Order: sequence, then structure tokens, then C-alpha cells
Amino acid sequence: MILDKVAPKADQRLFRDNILQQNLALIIWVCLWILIQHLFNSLQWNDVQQISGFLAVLIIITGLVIGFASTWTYKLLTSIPFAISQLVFIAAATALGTLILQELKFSEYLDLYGSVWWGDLALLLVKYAFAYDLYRSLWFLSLLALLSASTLAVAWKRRPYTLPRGGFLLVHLATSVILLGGLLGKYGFVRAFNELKQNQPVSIFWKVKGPDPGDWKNPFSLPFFIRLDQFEVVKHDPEYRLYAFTQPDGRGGFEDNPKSYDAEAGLKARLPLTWKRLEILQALPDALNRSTWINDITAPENPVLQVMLGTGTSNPLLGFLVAQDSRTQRFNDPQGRFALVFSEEFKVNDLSRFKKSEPKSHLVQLTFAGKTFDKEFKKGSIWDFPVFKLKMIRLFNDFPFKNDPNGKPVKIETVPPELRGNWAELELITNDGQQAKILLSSRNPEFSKSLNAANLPPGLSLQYQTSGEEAFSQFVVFSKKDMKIRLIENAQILKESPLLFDRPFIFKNGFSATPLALLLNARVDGKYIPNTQVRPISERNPAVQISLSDPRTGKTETAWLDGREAKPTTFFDKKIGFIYRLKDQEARDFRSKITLIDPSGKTLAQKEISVNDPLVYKGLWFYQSNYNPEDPTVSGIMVVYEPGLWVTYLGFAMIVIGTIWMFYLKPIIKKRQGV
Amino acid sequence: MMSFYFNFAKAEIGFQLMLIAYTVACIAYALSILRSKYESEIYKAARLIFLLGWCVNVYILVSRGIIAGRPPFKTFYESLLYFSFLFGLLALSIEWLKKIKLLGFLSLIIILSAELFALLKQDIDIVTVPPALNSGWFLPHVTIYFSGYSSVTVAFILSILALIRTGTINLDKDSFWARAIGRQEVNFEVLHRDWVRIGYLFLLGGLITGGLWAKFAWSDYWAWDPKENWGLISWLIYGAVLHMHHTSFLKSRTVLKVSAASWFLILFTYFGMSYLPTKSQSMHIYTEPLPPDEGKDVKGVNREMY
Repeated sequence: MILDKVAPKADQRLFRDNILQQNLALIIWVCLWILIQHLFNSLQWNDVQQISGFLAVLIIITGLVIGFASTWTYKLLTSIPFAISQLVFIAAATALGTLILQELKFSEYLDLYGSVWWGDLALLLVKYAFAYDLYRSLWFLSLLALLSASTLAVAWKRRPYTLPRGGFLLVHLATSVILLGGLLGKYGFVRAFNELKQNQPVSIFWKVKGPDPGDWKNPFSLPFFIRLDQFEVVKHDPEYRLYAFTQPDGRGGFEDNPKSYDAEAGLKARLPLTWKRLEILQALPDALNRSTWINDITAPENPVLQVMLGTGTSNPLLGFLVAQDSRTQRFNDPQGRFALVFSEEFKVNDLSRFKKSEPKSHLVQLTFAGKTFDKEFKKGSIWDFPVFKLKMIRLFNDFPFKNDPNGKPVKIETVPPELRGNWAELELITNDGQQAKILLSSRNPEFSKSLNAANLPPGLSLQYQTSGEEAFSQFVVFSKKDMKIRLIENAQILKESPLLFDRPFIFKNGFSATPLALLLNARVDGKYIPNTQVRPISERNPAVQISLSDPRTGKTETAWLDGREAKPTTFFDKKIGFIYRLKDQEARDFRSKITLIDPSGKTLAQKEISVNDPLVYKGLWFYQSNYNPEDPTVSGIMVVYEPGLWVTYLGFAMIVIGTIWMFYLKPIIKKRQGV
Repeated sequence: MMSFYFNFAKAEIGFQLMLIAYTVACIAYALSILRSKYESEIYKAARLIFLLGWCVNVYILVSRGIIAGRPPFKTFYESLLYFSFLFGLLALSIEWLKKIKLLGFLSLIIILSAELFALLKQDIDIVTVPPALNSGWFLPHVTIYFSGYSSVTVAFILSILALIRTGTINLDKDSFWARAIGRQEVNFEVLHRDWVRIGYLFLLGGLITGGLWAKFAWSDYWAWDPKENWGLISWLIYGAVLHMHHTSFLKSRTVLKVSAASWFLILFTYFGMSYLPTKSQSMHIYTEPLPPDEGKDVKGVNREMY
């Protein structure tokens, strides 16, 4: 009662009504809790110990308040201006957490805020005021505790509890009930994750701190096994639409918000912002492309060479090489023996390009628990994870096995080309000391997967990626400017001949390349026919034929649009463009059929869970969390145990019922009571 | 300005009709307030055209809902259409009952602003929803939240009207204010408090339905997500406004000013999330699709925000 006696009554009144002073007092309250959390941190207390310490300090403060300033505190806690101050202060504190990114490392904060003018303040708050995890900091929790104390005090003040006051009571008690639910959740709360492999029951999950399933740490044992029976990605039926672009941006592109149309044959429409009229002539739900390159003198220059490739069989290959397109200017022999290249001009400086070269970078990619990590290969380095380590052993320039599975020596020439190329060797060391050799092929990740399957834990996949290499050593180069064909091997010209049509250029035993035609102004002459064979929806290739007419000039242009072509097809001197493409490719749902089994094999529960539809079993909620696009037999499942959930839900019900009661039922009750 | 014209030309015919109807109604309301000549005829026309525009608004939403096979508020464009539908319903009802022409006019200004913003965004295509939004909670959560947004927007207009109206009005005299409030006495302050209460209750309902849904979809009823936080902030501030009505030390005009300012928090909660530094940490912000390698997480892939 000391403060009650010391503080003059006028001052008490002034403080209770002065929002500015109250907010300053709240800042002091917050600073006190920042100091307390620093103290707890110096004692290296974990989260649960800190919450227990927080509650202990709160009890001490409550005891001191009751002993020395109960009347003053009670009046303050029940004053409306103080309620306003608290609401505004908590709102401001909550807003602060949306301005400072949460739960990053200090080095990341330095990168983010180190160079901006307000960065010093942000770094100060991160470093000293726990702004990196604001909503779990003790000072933020202390504000919630104070709000709870205020609402409880106000509820106490409003005695006697008559029927009209029921709403007020419920609303003000609800705050404490909701916070109590949250507090209970702090004790024993678990969120854990694992990638389940079909038909492989597990009972261990990995605890994660936040909602990110990649943030895995310690194991969490379930008292039963969980088995994935089946995983399924449910997709929407693909829907193709026609997109019209009518605003060229002057740089060869168009606006990013085209007008879209249902692609139905017979549709006629006037295009927005133009007088031109669109008509859909044909719409084929599944079409076969019979288009070819033709020379069109009105088209822009685009040299295309038609080549026949003789491979020593009775079926030569026929194809087109497009000089201006890096993708289609070259044909790579699937067996890896040679490449055909068509370039506009051949320069001596280009020779160095035409030789086999080693990769410029070697990368190991690891996917586990729904997250992907990359690391540059460095011989002898160790990649550390909480439950295992990966040691980088060595790299191979070619197929690494000297003997086949039967122990016979391997002749490198007989190894299929897809297994040659670069390989990496790693060593997997688990926490229980087991070691396993891992070999990864850069060319054939699927083969590496089956090769290492027995040594890798479920859900873990490894890939070795190289970049910057040239896999071929022999090239047949056609040059338009000097009309020559050259055979180049490892940057050396072995043979050179004039580029003559219909004359075979023999470059290897049994192999010849014969130029058939050179189209200087080539364009694609589109032609599509309906596919009479029924294919699965995902494999179909729809196409539409449209015509565009200008009523003012009477000119009409017609073209086929392929559903797989990403670039717009242009009309009327590139003033108008059209794309026919898949509308969106969102998955409709992800579903996992899971079964909970006790150690004796008895089924405890079974459900097909999906996003929005978890399995709840004895307080454990099992969620569909993520999936592995490369492995349809794997599904990411999250398990959550949250004590206090129903207390929070009770609080939710109380606050809604209380608010309706207070605002709308109270006047009716009062009227009926004749008040 | 040109992009408004370009996008208007590309918009669906229903949207064009609706925008024209709302614009004409807005002009008619302004004329019926500013001029006494043909006042009642123009006023009647304003109301009817407002109703007509609103009916087209309903038609667009219903037809989109039928085509998409889901509630029509996945994209920003759709959510703004849905807001103008709910807010239009409230504004039109209040205006019809209370005959406050100025409320009708200001409501139409807000609706037109929303529609013009929708026109600027132009995410007009009907798209499918990701699994997280494929839920029975989608419709009630968004409807309750948007009812909250609409109610506090009504409260905002009423607070502005209460603030700009000073002194007593001679209702028998033909003046701006007499015409603006339909020649009858209106207590804007009481009406404002009523609508803050309604808004507060709906915002609370939105927070709670969101929490219940999030427990099923994301495993947390509350995850301190930036969007959730701003929902909480605006609700807390409206809670503070309601408390202010019970204090004697604040003048009623101060309360009205705070209430009017609070509406901008709602605006920020609705439109401002993309500007937050923490937007990358929100599961409610989905204007840009995630890169394919991150698309494996099934919770919040490529959703739209509102």
C-alpha cells in the first residue's frame, strides 16, 4: 500500500488518464522484460525454462503489487485510458514484427539492414530487444500478460454479475482464456515432420520449430507406427485458352495482360483496341504437327538448312538446322559420337569452341525433408547435417567402375554413353557411425538413384550436377557465309568441302551429312491434323487455327497456334500476337492414405488425408505437408501436438458470444427487465 | 490514365456496364445534392442506377462463381468485385432506409476507386484455386472478413460526415446540407458507433474463422503471419475506438478522427501487404507464383491475397 499512500490522489488520477505517460510506463515495462530475458539467456535457459522463469517473475511482481500498491494498480488496470494505451501499444508492437523479418541469422540481418538509413535502429532492436523473434520474446508476452491482468481486473470490478453484464464478463474473461490456451501450448507443443516412403512404416519424426518443414532438428518418437499406403497428386483437367496481345511494347514484346478467349471453333470477336476481327477456324483437342519450314521472301532473314543424315542404315534422318536459334542450330547424336552445327559465319576464333571440355563447376544437390541444399564439390570437405554427414571423396572424368557386377573387367568403349561423363564419389556417415559409399552420375541421375537406393535413408536424394562442359569431340559445321562444310575434331579441322546441295559429306565410317536446301527467309508453314489415337489428357497437344482480318483493308492472315508454343505468333507486321496455352497448372489436391499401426500390427486409425483435412488421433494432428515431384511414392507428413487448443477455442467462443451479448442482447435483456 | 483506358477496353462487358452504371449513379447523386432543380427525379434515378450497377455486380460474381466452380474471390480483381458487392449492399440499404444522399455519393466514390484499382491490376482471368483454398472455410471466412471491411468503411464515411457537418441545419431551408442528408435529422455519431460495433464484430469473426481454418490447413490457428498480424492490429485499434466511446477525457470529435484514421489500417491490411519487408514470410501473399523448386510445399502455393 506504499505507493497508494505516497502518490497524491490528483497525480494518480492524472496518470490514469494520461495516455502518453502510460505509454512511457509501458516502454519501461518492456525494457524491464528485455533485461530479464538477457539474464535468462546468459543462464542458457531453453524456451520452456524461459517461460517458466517468466511465470515465476510474474508471480513475484503480482505478490509485490498486492503487498505494496494494490489499490493504485487495481485502479490503473481498470481504467479505460490504460486499456486504450495497452491496445495501441500491443498493436504497435505487433506492427514492428511485420517490419523486421523474423527468425533470421544476425549475418542475414547485417546483409539486409546494414546499408539502409534506418538499418541501425533495426539492428539495435534485433541485437538487444529480441526483435528477431518478437512474438515469442518475453517483453511481448509481458504485454499480453498485462492485458490479461487488466481484463481480469475489469471483469472483477463489474460485480455483481447480472444477466445484462454477462456479455461484458465473457469478453473480458475470454482474453485470459485464449492466452491461457496459448500458454499451455508452450508446454509440450510438438511440430515434427518426416517424408514417408510408401509401405515403409516409421515411428520417428523430426521436430521443426516453425511452419517450415525444412527446419528439422531433433527426433520425435510416436508411440505407434505410421505407414503411407498411397500418395496422389490430383490435378485439374488442363484447360487451354487463346490469349490476344494488342499492345506491342516496341521491343518485340507485348503487354502482360492479354485478353483471353475460350478456344472454340466458330468464335468470332473484335479484338480490343483495334478494328481487327478474330475468327477461330478449327480447334483440335489433340493434334499432330505436320508443319515444315518454307522459304517466304516476305519473311525476315532467317537462314535454315535442310540436312539429311545418313547413318549406314536404310532410314536416313531428315532435319532442319536454324542458324539464329542456339537451341535448334545444332543436332546432337543421341549416342554422343558427333554433333551437326549450322552457323551463319565460321571464324577461325570459333575453333576453340569445337572441342571436348571439362565442366567448369561441380555441384552436389541434396534433397531431404522437403528442402533442397546445394554445395560445390570440394575434395575432402564434409557437409554436416544433424543426423548424418556427407564427405566429398573424389571426382571421375568417366565411368568409375573397373569391373562389372560379375567381376569381369569393363571395356570403357562398351559402356552406354548415358553412363559415361562425370561421376562423383561421396561417403555418407550416419550418427551411429555407419558409413556408405555413394556414387553419382552427372548424366544419369535416375541410374545413380537406383545404384544408391540401399544406402540412402528414405526421403533423401542426392544429385551431382556439372555445367560449362562440351560433351562432344567431333563436329560437322555448315557455314552459310563461305558455303563450306568442315569436319572438326578437338578444335582441329580434319576435312573441308564446299557446301553443295544433294552431295553427301562423309565424315565418319558409314556416316554422311547431305545438305538438301538452304532457306534464307525461312518461316514455319503450320499444318496440324487431328490425332485419331486416344492419348491421356496430359499427353495431348491441342492446336487452333485462327484467322485475323482487317475490315478496313480487307486483308486476312491465317495461322495455326500450337498449345505447347510459349512465344506469341504475330500478325499484321508484329502488331498483334496470339498464344494458345494452358491456363494454369495448379494441383487440385494432394492426398495421402495413411494408417496408424500399434507395435503388434493392429490398425489404430486410417484416413486419406489431404490439405485442409488432417487425421486427428488422440490429440495428434497428421497433416499433408509437402511432396516430392520426382518420387510419387513419397509424401511429406507433419504431426502436431498442441495441448491447450480446446482452451483457446473456448476463448474464441466466449469472445464472440460475449461481443454479441454485449452489443445486441444486452439492450433487449434490459428492456425486458424494464431497466 | 492510358492504362485505365486500355484495361477498360479489355474488360468483360459486364464489368464495363457496372462501371458505367456506378459512375452515372455517382454523378446523379452529386447533382441531386448540388442542385435543387429536378432534385427528387435525379435522386430517384441515382438510386435506381446504383441498384442496377449493383445487380450487374452480383451477376458478374455469380457467373464467375459458376464458371470457376468455386467462390468468386481468388484473384485481386475478384476480391475487389466481392468487396464492392458487399459494401454496395450495405451502402445501398442504409441509403435506401435513411435517405442520406451524401452517404450514397461517398460510397460510390469508394466503390469506383476499388473498381478502378481492379482495372489497374487486371488479373481478370478465371483461375483455379490451390489446395489450401479448396475448403469449406473459404466462403465464410472471406465473407465475414469482407463484411467487416465493408462495415468499417461505412463507419469511416459516417465519421467523415460527422466531422464535416458542423452546427445545426435548418431542414426546411433549401441548402447543401439539407439536400445532402435528405431533409431529415441524422445523428451521425450514434450511427457511426453502431457501424464500428458491427465492423468490430465481423473483423473478430474473420480472425476466428481464419484461425479455425488455419488449424486445419496449416496446422496453426495463429502463426504470427504478417497478414494475420495486420488483421489483429486493425481489430485492436477498433477495440481501442470502442473503448474511447466510454471515456470522458476524449472529445467526441477526437474519437471520430481516430476512427477515421483507423480505416487506413484496414486499407493497409487489404492492399499493403505486398509492401511489407516481411512479405516473403507471409503465407497470405501470393501475387507471384513461387519458383518451381519451392512449389513442393503444398500449403500456400500461389494463392491470392486480400
